[in-house]
Amino acid sequence: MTSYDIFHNIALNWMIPTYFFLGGLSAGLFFIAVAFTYWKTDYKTLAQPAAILSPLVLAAGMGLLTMDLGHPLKFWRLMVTFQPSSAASWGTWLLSIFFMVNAYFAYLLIKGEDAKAKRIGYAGLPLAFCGATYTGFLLAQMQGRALWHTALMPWLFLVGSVITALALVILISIVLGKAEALKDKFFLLGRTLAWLVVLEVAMIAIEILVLLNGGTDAIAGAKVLLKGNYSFLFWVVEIFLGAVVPLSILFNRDRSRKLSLQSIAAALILIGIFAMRFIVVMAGQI
Amino acid sequence: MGKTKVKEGMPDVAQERKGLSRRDLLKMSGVAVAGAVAATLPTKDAFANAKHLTGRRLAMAIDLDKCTGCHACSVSCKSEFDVPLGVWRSWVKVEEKGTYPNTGRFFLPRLCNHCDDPPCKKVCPTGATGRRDDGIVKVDEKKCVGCKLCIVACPYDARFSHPTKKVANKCDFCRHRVDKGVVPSCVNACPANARIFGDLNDPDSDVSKLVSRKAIQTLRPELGTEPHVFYISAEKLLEGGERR
Repeated sequence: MTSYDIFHNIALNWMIPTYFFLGGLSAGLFFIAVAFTYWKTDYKTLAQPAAILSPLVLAAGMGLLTMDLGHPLKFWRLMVTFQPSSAASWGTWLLSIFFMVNAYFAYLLIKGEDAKAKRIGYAGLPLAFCGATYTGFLLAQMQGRALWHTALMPWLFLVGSVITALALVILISIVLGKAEALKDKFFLLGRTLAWLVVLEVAMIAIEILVLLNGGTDAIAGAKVLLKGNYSFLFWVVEIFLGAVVPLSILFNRDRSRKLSLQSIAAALILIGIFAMRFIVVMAGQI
Repeated sequence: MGKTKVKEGMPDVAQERKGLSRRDLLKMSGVAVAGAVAATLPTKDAFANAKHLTGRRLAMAIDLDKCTGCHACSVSCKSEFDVPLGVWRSWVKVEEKGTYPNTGRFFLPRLCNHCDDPPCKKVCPTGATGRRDDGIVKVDEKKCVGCKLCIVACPYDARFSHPTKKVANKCDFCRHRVDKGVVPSCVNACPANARIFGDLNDPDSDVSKLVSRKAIQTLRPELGTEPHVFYISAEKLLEGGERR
């Protein structure tokens, strides 16, 4: 059987998964900033860097998203309408509001207006949740793409965004020298991160198993990851470098105590989740 | 641009053909008789004489038993819209199967399915993609910002990002032609008459009759998009198997 089809294009390039990565990272950082300020106050020293980074990362992501448009200068067209059936339209408004809340929260935290910051921070939590999940829903909305069209997609993206945020916070606190002061409590962060990575890998495994039990499209979608064009990225970067190696560091009592190894693990996890986003977006288009 | 001139002038092969046959008839029989006959002659494409230009549900039936894979539809579409190299609003998929001497070769002319429930319209964040009352799914190039989500949302790969205009582009059933009661360019160009275009709401139209009487198939019907391009005698390898 030979097939000649002259037309098939890959419309979305690396900019979209990078935006997904940055958008998720920003939502995760916001969540962590609120959690460390009000619930896990042991880590309060880490809250401020997270809160400051969050809007900056989001701004970079939104900038990338705008640049990816065929007509970046026509982006205002998105802001003069609301299309209730379009996840991207919801996302436009959601991100705009979240960005303002997010930046305001960081500002209040820096100024030390705690009472006001708490109100704004709590108000931002549902926005951060929606910001982290909507990108997954955006893909899940497309019923013609078996790899994307699954209810797991928003949750996969949500867990991914918390993972990247936590990994970045760990990395930053090591770089800024805040890790030593926290002593044992700091390694608890690494342990939490490790369990989140386990959850993420489990979700990916479930996703692939369900796809392999699906129709022709679903099986084809799973095989693109397992042995197709993106199998190297999937097995080597996402699974081995992004999960197996960091987990072997973070779950080992001795290795996880070394800050150098801990930072390597965090950096690898960041790369692994970026690979996950990239693979999902690119492989889904095949 | 020269393109608009072409639209206004309507150099329509089907109409020219009709004219020719009328001339032949005039030669054969007397002017009075021929005139009477020509007035009642069933035209080749009933669509041109369609009763209404409103209240229509436009659709296309493609008889794959007639398609010879000549790509005239692809070419006429290219020239109708100045479609740049590498992208197609209308194209023909080819499938070969079997081993010698038992082999088969099949063609699947492709275009936008003009779905009743278009996934591309659903995801559009600016409302640039719309569906007209007559079923034509169209892109408003002014409103389109080029986010490309409709391109990935289309389960049929019918859309592409226009290389120079940087907006979503696809087949629009030649709405500039059908609005004036003329068939789309690909239908006009098809030498095998494999493409039949018309109004599904008109029970007397050729497309209505074919869709009602023949065994028809649409692409990926399980998605619930309700395509309005109907295939007669479709080979399953063409739409299934290797998905694209």
